[in-house]
Amino acid sequence: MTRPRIAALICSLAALLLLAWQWRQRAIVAAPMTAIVFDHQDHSAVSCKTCHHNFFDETGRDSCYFCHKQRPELALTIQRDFHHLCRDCHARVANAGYDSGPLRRCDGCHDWTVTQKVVPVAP
Amino acid sequence: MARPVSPPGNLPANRVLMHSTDIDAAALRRRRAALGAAVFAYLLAPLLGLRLCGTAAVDPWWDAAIGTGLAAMGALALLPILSARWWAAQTRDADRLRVVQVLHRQLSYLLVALLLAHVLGLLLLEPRVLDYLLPTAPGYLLAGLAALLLVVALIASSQGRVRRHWPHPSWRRWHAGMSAAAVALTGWHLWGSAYWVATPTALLVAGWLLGVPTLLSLLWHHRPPARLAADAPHPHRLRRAVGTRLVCALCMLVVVAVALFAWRPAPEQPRAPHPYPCPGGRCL
Repeated sequence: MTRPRIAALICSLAALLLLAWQWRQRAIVAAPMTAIVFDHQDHSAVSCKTCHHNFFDETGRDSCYFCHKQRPELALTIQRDFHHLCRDCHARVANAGYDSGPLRRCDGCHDWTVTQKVVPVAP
Repeated sequence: MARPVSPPGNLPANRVLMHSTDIDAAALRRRRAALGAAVFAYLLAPLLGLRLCGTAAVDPWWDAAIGTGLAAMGALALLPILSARWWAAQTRDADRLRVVQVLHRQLSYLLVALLLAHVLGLLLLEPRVLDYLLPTAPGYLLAGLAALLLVVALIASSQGRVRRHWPHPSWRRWHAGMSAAAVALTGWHLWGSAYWVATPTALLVAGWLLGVPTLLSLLWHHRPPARLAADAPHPHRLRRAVGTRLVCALCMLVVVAVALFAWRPAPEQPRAPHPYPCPGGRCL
């Protein structure tokens, strides 16, 4: 294979990857959310501020979804952000040698019978 | 006493090839046993290292599926080391090279089997994991999928190399590049998905186990190990059998190690204070 052909192949692949990346970003933002099963009673030992930061840093008074799902720049990382928030906290408890909240299977937290469709808004 | 002879034309002049027909069968067996033990130890080390540094097993079947992924990580880390290329630089012993070649090939099949068991096991236990194989999945999960596809492509390209008359130097460059990419993607996958053993020590152990063989093989690429003495010849069937027996034993040990990983609780350690003590008894 000659060098111009290799260069053309690399450019085509890069363009294809760029298009796929942009499609992926849009698909992540538009994907419906799966509801979680969350009991405040189980989490009463945790400071409210740990999750509801918006009540304290003046970024809003609504549910998490209204920012983290409706704003595209936050919606891109919503899964990672919320998994880190919940799962890492459970992992810290488990690593300390105590029984923790769900760590492994998805249905430990998620209710698959309910999905929440949140329409994204323009930034 | 070993008798030095002139090296072949393509070897540096300071490398001396030795005929060592006085090496007895017991020494050869010891060497093969040492090679087999090193393979076993390194393949199982991620499981044992992460179990000792991570949390206790809480969901046996899920942990067994994760354990197959960790064993696959050990196999992937070993494959660059078990390359006949490095060993050819070390010895002219065709028997040993054949054993290494058979081990490399069969270990790659074992690697694919472990990776498929990892993916299919998690899918069977939790069908929603399918979302993690779609393009909208987080990057670290797509990295794992890409690593699996790369490993399959590596095996397919290696098997079809002679049939398609792929020149060896070109094939070797692609093989090495794709292997390095597969190791890097596996590292990313592990870093992102190992939240449940996400203690710094555990991640350090995993990084060490995955990185050291890769770095060592890269080092050997530039500084091949010194040539050693050749061993006595052995029948063709014996050297194939040695490689096959090693891999069969390896399979059994992997099953035992994964079972231990999934069902054995972590060793008792002094407990740290609960991060969120709750007197009501309903803790996180």
